[in-house]
Amino acid sequence: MNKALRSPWTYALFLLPVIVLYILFFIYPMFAAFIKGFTNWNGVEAARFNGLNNFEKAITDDKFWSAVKNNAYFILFSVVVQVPAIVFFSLLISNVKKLKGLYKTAVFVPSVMSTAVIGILWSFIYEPDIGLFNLILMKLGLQPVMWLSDPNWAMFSILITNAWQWTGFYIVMVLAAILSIPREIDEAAIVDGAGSFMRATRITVPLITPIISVVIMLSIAGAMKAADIVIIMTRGGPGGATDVMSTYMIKYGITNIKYGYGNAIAVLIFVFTLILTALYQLLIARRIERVEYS
Amino acid sequence: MRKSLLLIVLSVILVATTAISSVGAATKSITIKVRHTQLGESKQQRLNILNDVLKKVQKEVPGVQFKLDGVDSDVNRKEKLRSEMVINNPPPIFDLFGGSDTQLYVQAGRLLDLTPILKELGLQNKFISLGEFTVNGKVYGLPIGGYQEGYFYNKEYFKAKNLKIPQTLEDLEKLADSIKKDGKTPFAQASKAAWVPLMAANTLWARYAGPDISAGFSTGKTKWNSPEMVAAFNKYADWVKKGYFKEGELGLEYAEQRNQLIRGEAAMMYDGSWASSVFADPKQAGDLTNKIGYFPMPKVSNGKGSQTAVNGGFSNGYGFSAKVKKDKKQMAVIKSFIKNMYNDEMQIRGLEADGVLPSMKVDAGKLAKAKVSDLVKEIIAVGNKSSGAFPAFDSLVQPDVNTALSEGIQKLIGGKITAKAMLDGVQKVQAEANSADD
Repeated sequence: MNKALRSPWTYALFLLPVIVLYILFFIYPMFAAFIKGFTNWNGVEAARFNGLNNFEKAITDDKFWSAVKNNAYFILFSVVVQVPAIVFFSLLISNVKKLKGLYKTAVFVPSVMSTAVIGILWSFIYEPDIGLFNLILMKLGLQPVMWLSDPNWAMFSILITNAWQWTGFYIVMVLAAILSIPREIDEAAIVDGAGSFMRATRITVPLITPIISVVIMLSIAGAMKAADIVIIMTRGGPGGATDVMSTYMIKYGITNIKYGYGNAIAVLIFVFTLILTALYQLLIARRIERVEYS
Repeated sequence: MRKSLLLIVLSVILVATTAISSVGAATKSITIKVRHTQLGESKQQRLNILNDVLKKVQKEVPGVQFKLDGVDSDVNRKEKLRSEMVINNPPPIFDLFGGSDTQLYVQAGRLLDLTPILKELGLQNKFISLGEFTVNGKVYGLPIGGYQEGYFYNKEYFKAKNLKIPQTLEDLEKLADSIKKDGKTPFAQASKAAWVPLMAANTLWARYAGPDISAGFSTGKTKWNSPEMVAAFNKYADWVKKGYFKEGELGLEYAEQRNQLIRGEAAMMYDGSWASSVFADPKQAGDLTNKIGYFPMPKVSNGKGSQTAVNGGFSNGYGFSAKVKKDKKQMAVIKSFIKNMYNDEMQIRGLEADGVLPSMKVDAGKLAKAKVSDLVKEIIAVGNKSSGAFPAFDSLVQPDVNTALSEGIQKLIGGKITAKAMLDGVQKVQAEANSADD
């Protein structure tokens, strides 16, 4: 072996650019945000240390908790509605004999479209008078729903759009897992007399639980940082009804020129995400990620 | 022999390229980013004016290239420019609002003091009002035009239904009732961005509580939850309840309110004079081209203060980064930009092409000859008849208060809060903001 390759310094040298970039764009901003979170800072003048005031203000602000609740809706919707739908459609597509590629492409397309395009597209679908949904409702003799302007419906409308955008991406992931299951297992089950439903629920789904776990994990991370879709569709409105933590941070940090407070919110988002993912990993993911084809 | 010939040729090429590159360095080109907010069809004329000005600057200052950076006005004002100011990296030329925005950036030393440039160019007394861009006697921004707010209405519809321009708020409500009965929406509105409904609300509260009330909020002299303010917002909530606005308008973008008027779905619309150019353009206004009229918010019986004052001013224009001061070439560009943008010719062009009211004291003779639409003439006439203008509240209060009121008005329209509770909440935020400023 080459002498240079045996020296640990060579490896360190190769890693250096990545480490520098990681420190510059992740570690440093994180620490800077943490420090600024304890200050009263309007962004353009010198920051003044104000202890825990920002954090105290956040946790006593109903609007902040309303934003946290909306993030929770994102997570719940992903886990309770989106993930079962992903598994269901993946099973369906994996079993079709013809045009599998077409189905895969069709469901994947929304995830490569920009969120801005999707937001505007769905704004047309939700339009009060001529939108697709209300036209259908009116044809059925039902009252039209003010999807994006009624505080009771606005969040739900965003969740549907968000799910539509990302379901296809996860379906392709789950589909890859399903198709990688050795055929022998399925064939053995057929020989043993297992029907399609039983094979799907007793064999396929248990074998793809690790990938489902990853999908849930990614959905949680995605839900915690959701912002673009909310900004485009409702700007957090009406009256803050659809604000999530990140849009709350933009509104009360940047728009209000309270950068110290904004940084405190960023720290809280980081902490909440950390706790949530750690809990998920410790309580759920570890148990289901050890599936072996034995 | 061949070798030496090759050497000579290469040497000549080396010398020639060095000479050419050094000539290039002598007229070093610079690229200047210009942040503007002239996006979309309705602002095309304003973008054309900006482009023409930049071409003139390029002729006067050789070697300058411009990079146009168009951003939505609200996003630029509330997010993008603010973030750039934090890291002290705003573009050299940018769209700027006067009032509290300008004051904050001046405190932090981010804006270029334009006072000496104005003096040098002889422009110091040419503007109608630089009040919103003046801090401690120095000027930090230049308004591109003036604005005024009022009701735009469908003239043809009014004529067909024999409807009269309202003189009092009661008249306006009767008018709205009859339009509603006719199956149309009285007021076009699209409140996804809260500043849109706050335009009408601002003038309504100025009628109830007096045009000067907004100036007192940040000093603590006046209060958001005073009885007159509550009465104004109760009236607004009443209009919502009576169905004067389109259902679901809280989810619609600003541009949609014009479309409600253009489609004939609504009969009136409260908006700023900047909207007038849309109604002179057949591509945008269709059958309603040049068929839109304008009247001010009518007076309120027993209202405080002047009942003819209009919400208007000179709050939007261009500002320049303080960093350009160090660079002679950039300073030359800024001077040339100001010279070519702020003159009688451009002011009249803005008025003719786009209905932007002049922000400068344009020669009266030239102004009289300007080819403006009937609508713009009506807007100017309303301004002339008014007792004066008061600035929009958002240039007078702290951003926190604006955010609280923005959320509040949407909740009020959505029927989630009463006017009194909303204003109590806004006053609480105002008191906190005032004490933080002390």
